[in-house]
Amino acid sequence: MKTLLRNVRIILAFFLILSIATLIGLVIQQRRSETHFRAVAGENKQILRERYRQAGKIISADGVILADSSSGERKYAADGAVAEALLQIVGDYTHNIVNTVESQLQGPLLGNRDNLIKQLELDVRGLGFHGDDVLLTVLASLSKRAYQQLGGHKGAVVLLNYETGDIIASVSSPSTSPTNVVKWQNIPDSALFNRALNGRFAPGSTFKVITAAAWMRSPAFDPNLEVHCQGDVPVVPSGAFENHSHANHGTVGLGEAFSQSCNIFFGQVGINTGPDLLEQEANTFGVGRPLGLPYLTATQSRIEFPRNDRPLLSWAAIGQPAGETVLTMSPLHLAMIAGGVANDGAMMTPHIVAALKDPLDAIYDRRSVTTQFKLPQEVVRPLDQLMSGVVTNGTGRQAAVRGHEIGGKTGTVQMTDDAGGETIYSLFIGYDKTPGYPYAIAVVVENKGYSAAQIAGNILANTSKIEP
Amino acid sequence: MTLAGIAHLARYAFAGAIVLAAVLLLHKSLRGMRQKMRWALHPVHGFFLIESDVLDRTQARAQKLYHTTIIGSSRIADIRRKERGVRKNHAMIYLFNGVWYLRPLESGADIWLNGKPVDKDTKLTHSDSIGLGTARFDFIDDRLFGSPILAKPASSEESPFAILLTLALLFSGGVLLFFLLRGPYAPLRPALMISFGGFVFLSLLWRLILPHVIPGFDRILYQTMHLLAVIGLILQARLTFVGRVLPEVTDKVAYNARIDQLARSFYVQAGALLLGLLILPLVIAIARRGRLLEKLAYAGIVLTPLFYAATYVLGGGLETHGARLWIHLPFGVTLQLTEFAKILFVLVLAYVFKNRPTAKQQWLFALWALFNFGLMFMLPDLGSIMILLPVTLIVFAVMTSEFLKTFLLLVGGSALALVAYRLFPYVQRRIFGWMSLWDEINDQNRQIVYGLQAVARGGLFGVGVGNGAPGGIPLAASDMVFSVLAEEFGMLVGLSVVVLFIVIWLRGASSAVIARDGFSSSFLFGAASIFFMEAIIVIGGTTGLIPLTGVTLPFIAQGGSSILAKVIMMGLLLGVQTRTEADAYEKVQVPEPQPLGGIT
Repeated sequence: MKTLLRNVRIILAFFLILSIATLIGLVIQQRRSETHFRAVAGENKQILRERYRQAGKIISADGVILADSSSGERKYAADGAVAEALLQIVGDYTHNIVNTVESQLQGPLLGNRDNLIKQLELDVRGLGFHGDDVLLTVLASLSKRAYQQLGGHKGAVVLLNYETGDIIASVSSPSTSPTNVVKWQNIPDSALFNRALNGRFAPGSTFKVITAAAWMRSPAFDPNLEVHCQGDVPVVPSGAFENHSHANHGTVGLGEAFSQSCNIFFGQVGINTGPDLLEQEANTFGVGRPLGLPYLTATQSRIEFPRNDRPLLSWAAIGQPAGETVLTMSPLHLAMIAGGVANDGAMMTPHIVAALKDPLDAIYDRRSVTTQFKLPQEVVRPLDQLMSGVVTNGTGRQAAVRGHEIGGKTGTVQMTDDAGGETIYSLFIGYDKTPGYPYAIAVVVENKGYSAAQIAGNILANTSKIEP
Repeated sequence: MTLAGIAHLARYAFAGAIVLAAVLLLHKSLRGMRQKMRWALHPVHGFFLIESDVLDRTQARAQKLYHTTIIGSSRIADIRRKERGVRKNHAMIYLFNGVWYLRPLESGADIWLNGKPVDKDTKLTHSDSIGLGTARFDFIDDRLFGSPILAKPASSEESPFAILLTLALLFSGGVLLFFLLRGPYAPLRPALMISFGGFVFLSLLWRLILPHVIPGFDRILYQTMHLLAVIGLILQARLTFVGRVLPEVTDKVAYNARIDQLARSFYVQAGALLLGLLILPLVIAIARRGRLLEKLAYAGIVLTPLFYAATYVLGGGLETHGARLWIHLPFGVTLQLTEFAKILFVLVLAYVFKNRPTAKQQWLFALWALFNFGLMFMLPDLGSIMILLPVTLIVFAVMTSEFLKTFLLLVGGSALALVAYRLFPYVQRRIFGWMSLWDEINDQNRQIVYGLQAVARGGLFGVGVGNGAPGGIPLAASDMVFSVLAEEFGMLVGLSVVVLFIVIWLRGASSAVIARDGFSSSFLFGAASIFFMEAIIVIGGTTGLIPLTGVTLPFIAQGGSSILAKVIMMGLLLGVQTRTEADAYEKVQVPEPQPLGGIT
């Protein structure tokens, strides 16, 4: 009998361990699933449709409802152009686009709350089942305009408030209607890809902002340096030359070279500065560092080049990766750089979600204004002057807006984009220093008779004054 | 407030009720376990041994007998003799079919009965004398002197509060479902009300009658089954009725056909449960009548492999199922024989291990079991293997104390699993799906991923009955029902369900400990372990803790055969538990008290 009892005790212990392991395992699996299976490719569309019937709204900063389920069916912005412009930001409930507000904020949108007391309060009021609303920083009106400016060509526009980091517009073209995405039909090539946040573009001559800063801070800096530019004659054998403009700039100093975007001058400057300082300066500007955008994923910019290759270094210095060089930046990062120059060197943390709102209209998780990267003070003012020169009498004259102090930098680059197309892109980064207009912009557009500077000018001319 | 809002609020009450009931039942059963283990050390009444020393006949003393009593030099032997020539486990005296037997346990363990050496199981009768080393034991049947047989402690525990909670859950769940079925769904209301009403009537009726008719009826176990069945009924009604796609009401023919079909499919589920409940007293009565069940075990030796073979030959798939475990009978009835085969398997298991089987018997049983497992592999019914193999090992280990052998068998089983992995592509697919769960979504694990998403959505309290999205989970009502449970009732209820299966095991194990015959003991162990293993394996499988096998969650998952088989098994468990000590013995003629002579 004692033997039997002993055996029972052994099995009992074994079963209790098994049970406890199962109980703990269940809790772990649940926790793990909550973070891991938020949005998965090939997710069950039927489940998603059922779930998003109770989801909260997504609302733009100008009060346009971008997504809404109050009819019992998930509906997107009534204005088709707005819906298309913000498609890659707002997303779709079927999660065919992955890095979106709909997928990344589905927890709050579907009303999964961690605060049990809050949840109980809402439940008692009969609102517990409603999801929370997501308030975005984007303006539907400006996003629509920016999207229309791209004219259906491949490209992206990011417009920031450089004082707060709020993303006012972030559009990626081509795009399509959310209905098409949900039904998975008539989707143009690469329309689900968010070029604005995740595009990896070669920065082209817009990179000269960083090269100029690196040079100004290097021991080799010579404010009176002049370089003779003969257009197609490279700065060093097989180094940078005027590959796009083929212009003969003659003998130029820093100011002239920046406003005319002289490749020969900046190729020489890059060689004078050296690879280490150039890369170090790029890091100061946020290359290779997380951009800090909450909720959504913003692709990091990258720079890598061989150390002892002067020709490749001269190409990198003008923002054109060649050979083994890797140099990619996202439109969001480019806009942040322009904003940093305008904002006394403070590159603010970007935000696309302004706040969340629960069914009782209580606002929570309001975005905080913080500095993501700090630019060295000594280069901010000179860069500002250089960039103003580009718009007043340089390559970026098309970006000028009457009555506004606009600064910027143009760029042209030949590249293979993420969607696989080999094309020439026109770029522009710029800012508005007019009081009450703290806007920074980055435009990247496929160059088919379009100028990024022109698009930027058109958009900046339509911004509205922000009262302090 | 919308209905969804009310359901969302009601989830707190549901979770609270289920958690509280589960904790109450667990508390009672843990206490019961402790009591019964203490009681088990009480010896058998009516029989004892008189121990004396051959060298010194003056030192005689009484030795208690248990229904298996081990004599040996081991520290945990019931009667300990430390001297030369006495082995660790020297001999065993055990009760079998109401008769006491003596058996030498180790080869070379010398033992004599009435002066003759004993080498096999030998019947003991009153005043038999057993010789062992220098010891002599006289077997006394005290009933001849009018000693009563003490009944085992009646299972009087119950938790009235848990009953109230269960009924409240059933009632509020029913009302909620009633209102959820509105608009075009309204014609489904009668099916809901009839099924729920029938269940309330029968389950309460038995709850009131059975404890009075059957002494020692285990109310805690019955309540646990009751609670699980209520959860299952609410979930199945919700899965069958709520949010199902209906044709337009204007399309009368199609609409009515669909309503009929939905109602019928719920009637099958609820009907199986009600049928099980209806015959529950009968099953209990059969199980109480000792020998009949053991006779059935004989049949089980033949019937178990026959059931698997029949399924292999006649079985067909059902809808999207890969496995072919369903036998289609006339009138559209499908039967899953494998569910009933499990009961028979446990009966055979209990029959073989009711007393320590000899090595030869063990080998024969191993061959028989291996043959059955082979058949299950062919089906394929991996689920049954994963349940029955550990249960077999558990019963084997408990009844024979051969832990080393058990361990070796476990190693052998793992080796066999490895061979199966190599040989059978479907095993490889299952394992691959499980291994790649957190890396990628593929055809082998999509089901689990969707299930886990539902589990994640449910959070602690769930989203409320009718508010979840089970529509897209493949096999939501049967294999993946735990995901739906976790989504709509929440993880707290999910954990409580695990606790309820622990309660079932504890009840079975604790009554196995005090059972006075080996068959009851090993059957109670086996059956209770089956419930527990089945629950653990299906819950672990649907949540990605272990590879998924097609097993149904007892009392909750969809499947008429499954639920009927489980209620029958529960009936057997309830019945065998109530076997009294007296049932275990052969009747003896107690002599009439002799009138004192001469005095009138």
